[in-house]
Amino acid sequence: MPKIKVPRSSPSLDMTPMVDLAFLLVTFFMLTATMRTPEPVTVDTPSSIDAKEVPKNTMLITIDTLGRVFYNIENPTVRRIALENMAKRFEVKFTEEQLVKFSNMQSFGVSVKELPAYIDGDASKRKVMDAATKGIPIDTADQDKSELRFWIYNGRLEAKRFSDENPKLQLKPLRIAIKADNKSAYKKIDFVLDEFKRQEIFNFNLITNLEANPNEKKSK
Amino acid sequence: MADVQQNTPQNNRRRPVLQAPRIDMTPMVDLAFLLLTFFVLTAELNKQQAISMAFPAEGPAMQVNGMTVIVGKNPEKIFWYRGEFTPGMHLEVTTPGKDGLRKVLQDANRTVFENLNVINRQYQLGLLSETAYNEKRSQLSSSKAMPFVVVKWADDASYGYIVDVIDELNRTANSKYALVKATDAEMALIR
Repeated sequence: MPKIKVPRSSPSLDMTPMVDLAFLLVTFFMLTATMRTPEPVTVDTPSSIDAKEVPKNTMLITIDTLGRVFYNIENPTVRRIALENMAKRFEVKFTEEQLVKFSNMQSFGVSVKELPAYIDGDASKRKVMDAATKGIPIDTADQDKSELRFWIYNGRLEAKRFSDENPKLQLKPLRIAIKADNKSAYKKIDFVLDEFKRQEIFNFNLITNLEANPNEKKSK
Repeated sequence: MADVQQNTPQNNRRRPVLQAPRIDMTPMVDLAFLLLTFFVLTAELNKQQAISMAFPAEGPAMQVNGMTVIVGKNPEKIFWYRGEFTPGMHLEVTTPGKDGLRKVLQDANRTVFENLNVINRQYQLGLLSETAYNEKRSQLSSSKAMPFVVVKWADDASYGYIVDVIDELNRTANSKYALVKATDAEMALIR
């Protein structure tokens, strides 16, 4: 039987174009990826068709399924000054280091008294505090104790001041957005909306997911 | 595997042509595709969106052609009535979605909704200039034919259901609405 010559070596393939393409795509996805900001609670937002992109320069109020309120304002400078104002008002001392650390943080849902411990804590400590917290205190009976009220007030005040002092940045006016869970009781959201009305905030956004197919009936 | 393979000297004894050393690129490709897969999968697929809300500065003024939608605990039952509330009145019941609430709202806002569709089409065909289109749009959105819809929520209503109703209002081109807590009398009727 004649021997069939089997080529020993596997055919060499020029992989250069493939590598080029692969790295091009990797670079593209890396650059377009935006870091998901770590949030203290997961919130499953409702979906809607009428939607615009979430505006830049926002003050975000998150309400989770239990009705706890979390607060976030994007601009680090504004965050810091807002905290200084809050510290004065609620007589809590913050060190310089804590103020700097706070300005780079994200959403939080603890009272001003608990904030120093929250800022100093590491990720796992914060997780424990996030799970145990009752959210930013809202006192419907005594307005002067409602911390949410002053967070909203100071956030707006300082954001306005910041954009007035830095006209070169051409910042859009501060938008206020509510991000709440599908299952949150509307009652709780109404507390926040009441606060908006009191502070004469009549325009705001509700954060939703874009609905996939607008022609089909929603499946819940 | 990952070594640099030089050409064997025997083949090139006669013509020592300088060739670039061949590099085995398999590991690099592996890594590249691994990273590629990771970034593709972690890319945010559903970007977050936002609905704009505007509240009337003063309390909602009841209008003659007003309409009230009540959302309670059960998401499958949405109650509504026209005009003013009278104790013990009969409430209409509808379901959420295309064939229920949307139809009701669309019927209530038919004039505006249809006119809006007409000018949308004209604008797309280039029959209307942008300024004329915007003007007509703003005229329609403040039209008297648009019913004022009061969305009332019960104590046990979920946020998601309310957003669904707002979404239906937006779909049917109704921009005049307000969110109000349901009264006890209304609560008694939807139980």
